[in-house]
Amino acid sequence: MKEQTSAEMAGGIAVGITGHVHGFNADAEARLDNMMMDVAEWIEKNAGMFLGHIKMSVAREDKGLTLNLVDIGTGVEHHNCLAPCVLADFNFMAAVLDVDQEELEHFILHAMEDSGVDLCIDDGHECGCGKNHEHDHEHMHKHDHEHCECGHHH
Amino acid sequence: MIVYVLGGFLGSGKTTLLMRMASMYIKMGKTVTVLVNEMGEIGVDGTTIKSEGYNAVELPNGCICCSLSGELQSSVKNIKRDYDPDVMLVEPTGLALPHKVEEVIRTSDVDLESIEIMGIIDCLRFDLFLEKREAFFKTQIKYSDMILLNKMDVVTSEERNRIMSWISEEFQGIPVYAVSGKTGEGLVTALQGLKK
Repeated sequence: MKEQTSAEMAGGIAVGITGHVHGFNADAEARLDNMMMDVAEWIEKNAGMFLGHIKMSVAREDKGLTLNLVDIGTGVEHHNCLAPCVLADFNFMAAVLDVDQEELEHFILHAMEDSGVDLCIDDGHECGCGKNHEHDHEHMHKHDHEHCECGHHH
Repeated sequence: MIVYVLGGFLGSGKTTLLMRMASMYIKMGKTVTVLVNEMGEIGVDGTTIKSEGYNAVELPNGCICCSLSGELQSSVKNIKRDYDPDVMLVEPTGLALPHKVEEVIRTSDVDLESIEIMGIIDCLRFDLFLEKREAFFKTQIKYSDMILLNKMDVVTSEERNRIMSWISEEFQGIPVYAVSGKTGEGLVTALQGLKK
């Protein structure tokens, strides 16, 4: 019989998503903050409590900010800062207890899409709803740069 | 090379403490390398730590106490060969068992001065951890060489004393220090309590 991993022993799961933020500024930062709170509230509703850690880094050339959420009452904590920029990389991770991994990933992808921030998610995230979130976002503004690797003409 | 494994549950403040410790050791003239492990396929803390200018090696997408134990051994060897720092700070995921990480590092065939486990407990969510995952929480902490009761700045002294009493009773013989990763309070005293 296969030995349990420590995460299985703890009843924990993790979802990691990476991609790019187009047009990062203070408004986008506030919207990402709200998106993380939405995810935590969904976890609380589904697991009975939010016990875990949601974090996101937004960086450009290895310099950037980190958003951390471990307690809904405390809210999202912002560390360091990133000046407004056309394109930045983001890494998102949620490690929590007592929710289904696929359902959580599905919710996160939708929360990102609904956040109002122009996020381009890297390949590899198949959502249970059948929607392709990787390249399904609508660009409400024209991009004139060549940084996006999603293969679409923006 | 002295290795400190910073173990503790999700959100207990390991990364904040780790950066605080790295900064303190660098100010003492020591060289530091940080090894961070995350459950998600993409690391977030590595970006944060590199942003602060520290040498950081990331091991994402699994746990270094079990699924990534082979990668941990290779990384420790590489860190010794490439950086050979005075201090290596290891941050496993919040779902890892630190004593297993220690075991994996000990068997990585690298000459170490010492290796110690620092068990980090979040004051703020202590009761919630006990209520929801008591057995796992105790297993995570019981093999620690030192316990750091973190986020002391956000609880009352009565609350802190209550938790301290529980810890001293439950984990007898392990020194306990109340600290704040955010403000740095109590950390100098705690580090003085380390064997090395």
